[in-house]
Amino acid sequence: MKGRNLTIVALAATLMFGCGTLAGCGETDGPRTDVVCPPTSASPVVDPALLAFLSKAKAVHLRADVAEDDGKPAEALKVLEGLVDGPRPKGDPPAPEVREVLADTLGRTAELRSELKDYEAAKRDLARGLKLVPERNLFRGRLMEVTGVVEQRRHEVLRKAGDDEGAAAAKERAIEAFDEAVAIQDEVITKTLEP
Amino acid sequence: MRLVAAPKRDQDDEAARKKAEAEEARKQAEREEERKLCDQAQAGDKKALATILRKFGPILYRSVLLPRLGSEAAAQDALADTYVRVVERFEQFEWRGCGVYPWLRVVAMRIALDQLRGRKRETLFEPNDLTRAVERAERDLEEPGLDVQLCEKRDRAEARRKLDEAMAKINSRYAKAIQLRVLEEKTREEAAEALGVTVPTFDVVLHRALTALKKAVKKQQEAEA
Amino acid sequence: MSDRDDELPEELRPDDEEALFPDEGEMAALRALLGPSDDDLAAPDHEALLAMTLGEDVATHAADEVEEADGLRRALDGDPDVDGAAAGLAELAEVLRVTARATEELPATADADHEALLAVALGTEPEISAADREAATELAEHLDREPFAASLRAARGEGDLDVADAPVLLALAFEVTGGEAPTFAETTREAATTLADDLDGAGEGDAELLPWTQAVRAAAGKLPDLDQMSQERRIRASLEAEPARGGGGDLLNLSRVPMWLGAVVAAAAALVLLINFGARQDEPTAAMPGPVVDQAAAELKAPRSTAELFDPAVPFEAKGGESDRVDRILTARASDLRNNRFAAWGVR
Repeated sequence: MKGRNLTIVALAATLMFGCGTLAGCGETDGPRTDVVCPPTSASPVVDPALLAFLSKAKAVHLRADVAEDDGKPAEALKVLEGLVDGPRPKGDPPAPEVREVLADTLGRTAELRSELKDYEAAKRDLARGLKLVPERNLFRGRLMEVTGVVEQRRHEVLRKAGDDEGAAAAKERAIEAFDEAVAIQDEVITKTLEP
Repeated sequence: MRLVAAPKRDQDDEAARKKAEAEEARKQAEREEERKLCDQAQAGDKKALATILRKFGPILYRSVLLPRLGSEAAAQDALADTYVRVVERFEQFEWRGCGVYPWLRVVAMRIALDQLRGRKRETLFEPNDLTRAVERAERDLEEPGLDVQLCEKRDRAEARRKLDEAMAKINSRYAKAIQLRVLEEKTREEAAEALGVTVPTFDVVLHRALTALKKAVKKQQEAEA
Repeated sequence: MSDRDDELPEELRPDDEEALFPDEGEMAALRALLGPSDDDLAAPDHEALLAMTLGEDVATHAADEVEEADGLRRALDGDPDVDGAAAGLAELAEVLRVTARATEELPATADADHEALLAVALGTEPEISAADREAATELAEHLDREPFAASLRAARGEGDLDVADAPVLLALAFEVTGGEAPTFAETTREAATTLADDLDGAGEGDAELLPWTQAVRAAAGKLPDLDQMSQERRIRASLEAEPARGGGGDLLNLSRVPMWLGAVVAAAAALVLLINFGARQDEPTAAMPGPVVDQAAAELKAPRSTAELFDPAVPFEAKGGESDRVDRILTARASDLRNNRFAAWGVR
């Protein structure tokens, strides 16, 4: 108890000079021994772990931009996979920001895979993304838009290959996806205008 | 007894009088409705407060904030701040004959003044102009006949007058270049043709024109300071 | 009049009041006496001189002369609807006025221009250098093709004329009269083109004068109205924010709070937080547990959807925009983290 009292007093003194005690709770690099963090059952807050993930996401997307500008979609894809398959802040379910950024990234990887004509892998990415954002918001709307694009590209390839049935089915799926994207967008707008 | 038709002029006067009465009655009903909303908002009804902001926000934006702050981003920030301030302080609002808009207008003017003081902006207005505008707006609260349309008209006219005064100080062909391209939004080709010059020359003329206008405004502001 | 009396034949000298009002015969005699001489005074000028000398009722003027004179009078008074010869004469008068004014106002470096303008206006030979003479000849050739007054009007200055404006306005004069396009300094041209592209929406929005242009449009009421979507978002945000119920006056100014008081508050907040902290987790977590104190918890920003950061009216494109979106999210949440830290320290 005495030790704990001393800890409390020492930390109070530290805080009086404005030190970031809470910054120790949730950093991704090595534990801090001078900080005691509360259990996870309380309400979550925006913390450094989330910020670290978002910073990484920004860096990854910028690197992917450079790779795409250089005409290297495969390289861009590899960089983005490092984010979607890499470590993420703990939380079940993940924080909304994490889900939305991952969904956005998966939309990007799906689009890139369809450029590389790997339509099944693109569809898998889209399925993962849609599972992350079940809410009918702009992120989900965008994933439906990309789904439409992927199917549209598949349709073109199949049509040129003479697979009329396959092409027709792909076109049908593309139209459905685009319609769904529009419906989501309408809902988003309507919801915003609600009194 | 023989009925005699009233002379035409009397009939017109009567029609005009009736129209004015109807208009007055409509305004009265509107004012009562507004008062009820204000009472509800002060009692904590957020929907009522939202209705007030929804109704008058766009007018504050286009006639008070946008002309004085000079940019959509700044005006939108100011409008957001205005809403927050109104929500925070609506309990202080006292109903007067002129309705709620003049009070909202004072809040918006003060926010705009804070913005101009806080950060240098490209605008025809400077803090002293806004200080005077705030004082006038506060005096307007005592004016019973003031309504939204009149306030809006005055505010927009003041902004336009500021611009016209500045335009009058520069070369007339410069003013014409600004009028055509910036205010009437003609294309470069149309504006160049109107001035009888080539497009590249017009581009330079417009650039110099805006520089001259800016200089004229700054000079005026320095003279008034 | 007294000098002229000596020259008049005796029968016409105004020795009494009646001579002031000559009859028809006397009028004819006067006209014959004062008719055009070998000096080649044009008939209309002669009539004008007669009118000035003997009164308007002596002279006769052609109807078209009268009309033109009336037009000139109106043009000098500023009537914009005057055209034809009268308008040309009015412009000449304006040029003379301007050049006279310019004598006092133009800087020394513009003397050559001034001399040239005066020479053109007065029809005299200017006293200028050979180089300037060449330039003046070129100007004259241009002016020969059009009424010179129109060109000079293009170069007319009103109000303060910057040194940089003179070549622009003269260029206007050249082009208006059908001359060659002028050349400007590269920096001038670049800045002008950047602004022009930005106004067309084809630029990067970095023209120096673009904000000023927007300010001009804003003052004239030419910027678009508020869009309903943004309006709703703002109203919602203001109603959902915790209203700071307080009296009138400014928000609490922290600079007036003594430092010792701030330290006491921070210490109190820290003690409460520490009492409720438990064992630290082994792995990092984005769902960091918050303090138990109600007020502090209410002020800490929780993780939430980022949809509010984007305009609902603008759907995300199928390709592109991810970097901008994640950047926007990062910026917003960084601000939230700062807020959370400050709130935990008990500072607003």
